[in-house]
Amino acid sequence: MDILKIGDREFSSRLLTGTGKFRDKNEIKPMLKQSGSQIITIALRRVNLENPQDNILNFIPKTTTLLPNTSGARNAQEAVRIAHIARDAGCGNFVKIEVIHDALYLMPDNEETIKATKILAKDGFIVLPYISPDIVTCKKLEDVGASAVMPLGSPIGSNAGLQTKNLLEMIIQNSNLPVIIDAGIGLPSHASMAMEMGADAVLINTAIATANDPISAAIAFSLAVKAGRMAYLAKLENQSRYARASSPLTGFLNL
Amino acid sequence: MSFLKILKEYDDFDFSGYFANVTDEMVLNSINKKSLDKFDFLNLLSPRAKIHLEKIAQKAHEITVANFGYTINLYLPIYVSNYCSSDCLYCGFSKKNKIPRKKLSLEEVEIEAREIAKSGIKHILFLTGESRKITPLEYLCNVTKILKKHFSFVAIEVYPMSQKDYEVLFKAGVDGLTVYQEVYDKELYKSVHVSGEKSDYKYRLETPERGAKAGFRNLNIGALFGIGDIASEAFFSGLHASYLSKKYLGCELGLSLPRINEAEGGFQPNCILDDVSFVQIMCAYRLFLPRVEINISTREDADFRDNLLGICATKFSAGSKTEVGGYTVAKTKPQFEISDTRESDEVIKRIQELGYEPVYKNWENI
Amino acid sequence: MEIKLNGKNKKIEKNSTLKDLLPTLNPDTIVTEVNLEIIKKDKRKDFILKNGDCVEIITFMGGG
Ligand code: SF4
Repeated sequence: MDILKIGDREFSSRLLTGTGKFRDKNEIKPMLKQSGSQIITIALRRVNLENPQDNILNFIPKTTTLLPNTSGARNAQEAVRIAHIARDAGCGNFVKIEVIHDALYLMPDNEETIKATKILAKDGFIVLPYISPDIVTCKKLEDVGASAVMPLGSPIGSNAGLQTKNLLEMIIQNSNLPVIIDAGIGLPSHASMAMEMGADAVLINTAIATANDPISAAIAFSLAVKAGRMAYLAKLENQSRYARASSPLTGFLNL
Repeated sequence: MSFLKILKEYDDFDFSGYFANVTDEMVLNSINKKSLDKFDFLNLLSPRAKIHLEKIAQKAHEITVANFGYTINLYLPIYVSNYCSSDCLYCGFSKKNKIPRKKLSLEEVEIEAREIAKSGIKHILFLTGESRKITPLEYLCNVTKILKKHFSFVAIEVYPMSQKDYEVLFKAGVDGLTVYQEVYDKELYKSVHVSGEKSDYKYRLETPERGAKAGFRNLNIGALFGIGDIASEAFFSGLHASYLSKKYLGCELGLSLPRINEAEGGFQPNCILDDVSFVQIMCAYRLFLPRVEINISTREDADFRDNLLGICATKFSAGSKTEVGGYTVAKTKPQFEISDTRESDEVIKRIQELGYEPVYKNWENI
Repeated sequence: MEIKLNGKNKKIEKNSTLKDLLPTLNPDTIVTEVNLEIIKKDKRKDFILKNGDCVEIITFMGGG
C-alpha cells in the first residue's frame, strides 16, 4: 500500500483539506467522506461573545485528524502560543505553523516559521510548517525537527496553480520530509501536476470550499491526486532534473 | 534563410577558443535543460563534456525512451550498382579504383529483394554509386517499383537530383532520402571530392531540402567522420538536422555517424573518431534533437552496436551486405567493410534479449 | 473591578470565577486562557479572577 507517513501517523489519502470559507459547514462531513481526505485544517479564534457561533469541531467526524493552524500569528512566539492552546483543547499534537505579517500578499515568514518549528518540535508537536518554497528553508526545517514541509504553489486563495513549479521541484527532489503543496491549487489539474512532480500530498481548501458544489469538487481533487500519484509511481515523468543513476551506460568504453 | 547562409555565420567562428572556455558547470547546465540551444549543443560536444559522458548518456537514454520507447527500427541496405562517375578519395567505389563493376538487372533486383524480404524487415535502403548515366532516373524508378512489392518503406541513397526528379521517384514509391554531406568544411570538401558531380558542395548541401519539397517524409543526413575536425563537423550535422526539421515539420530527420573504415583506395583518414567521441556525439545529437532518429550501420561492430542500443540509437541495419548483389547473385567488392557480420536473425535475437522491440515495419504509405 | 476579556475591558464583580464569565457558552468547545496561561475546563469553576486579569476565550473555526 502506498502510505503517507507524517510523524508517527500513517495515512492512505494524500489529499488534505481545510474548513475555511464553506458557505454551509454541513457540507464538510460529506466532503470528507466522499473525497477520502483524512486530515483537515482548522483555525483558532477568540469567541465572539456577542454572537457566539457554532464550533467548527461539531462539523468534523471524530475519525478525522485535525490540523490546527496558527493563522493570526505574526511571529514565532504567537505561533507557539496558538499551538499550545490547540493541543490543550484536545486537538491532538499536529500543528500547521503559519506565520504571516505581510497583509498585502499573505506570504509566510520563513524565518519565524523555523524558530516556531524548533520550539514546538521539542515540545513534542508534529509540526507542518507552511512556507515560501525555498529549499534552504526546507533543509533548516529538517534540522530543527519538522515532520513535513508545506511550500506554497502560489499565494493563498489565488487559485493560480503551481506558479512556483521550479522551486517546488528543487524541494521535492531533495527533501527528506514529506512535501505537501499548500495554497494556490485551484484546479484538479494543478493537484495532478503537483503529484506527478513527486509531491507527497496537497492541501486544498479555497478551491473546494468556494466551488458551486464543494462535494463534487472534493471528489474531483481526490481523483486528480490519485491520478497524479499513480503517474509519479509509474515514472511517467521523464524530465527529471538530474539523470538518474541507474546502471552505467558508458562502462563499455572503459573511461 | 538557407542552410548555406547559416553555415556562413560560422566561417570565422573559433571552435577551439569556444571549447577552451567551456566549464563543468556549463556542461551540466546544458545536460539538465529541457530544450537546448546551439551553445548547449556545442558544450556537449566540447572536450570538457567527456568527463560527464555517463551523465550525458543517462539523459540521452531517458529522452530516447520518452520519445521512442524501447524500440529499434530495422532496415537493410541493397546495393544495386557500384558504377560511379565521381572520385571521392575515401570511397571504394571511386571511378579511379579498378574494381569489378556491377549493376543489377531488374530480375536480379527481384531475386535480391525476395531474399532480403525473408528477414521479415520491411524497410529497405537502396544504394548506387553516383552515376547518372549507368543508373538513370528510369532505372531507379523501376528498382523502386520492384522493391515496393516486398517492402513498405523504401529509401534511396543515390546521386543528388533535382526536385523534379525526386518528385518522380516519390510517385514511384520512394519514402525516404539518405544523403550525407560527408564534409561540412568547404575547403576539405573540395580536397576529398576531386572530380565529378559530387564536387559541387552547394548542390549537395541543398539536396535534402529538395527531397523534402518533393514529398519524402524521411531524411537521413550526416558527416563522414575522419576527414574534417570532428567536433565542428558534428556541430554542423546537428545544426543541419535542426534546420531541416524546423523547416519541414512533416519530415522525420535521421542522423548517421559513419566513420571512415577500411576501404578500397587506401585513403588515410585525417583523424580518427574514437569510440568515446562517437558516443559523445551520438548523445549530443539526442539531447539537442530529442526526436531525431539515430542510425547505426553495420560499419560498427556487434558489441559496440549493442551498447549503443541501450543509450540512444533508434535505427539499426541488420545482416547487411554491402556488395552489389551481396545477398544472392554476385560477389563484388563492398563499398566499405562491415564490422557487425551477424545475420539479421542473430541481431534481432540480441535486440530482444536486451529488452528492446525490433520494429520490422514502421511505415506504409497508403 | 475590571478585567480584559478578549481584548476589551469588562467590569465584573469581585470574586467572580472564570466559569461565571461563560454562562452562555458550551464549556466543551472553548479554550480559556488567563494571562497567557491555559486554564483547563475543570479548573474554571474554582479560578477566581483578579483585577486587571487578561482573559481570552477561544474557539475553533474554519480555516485553511
Ligand atoms: S562516395 Fe559516392 S560518389 Fe563518391 S566515389 Fe563513392 S559512390 Fe562515388
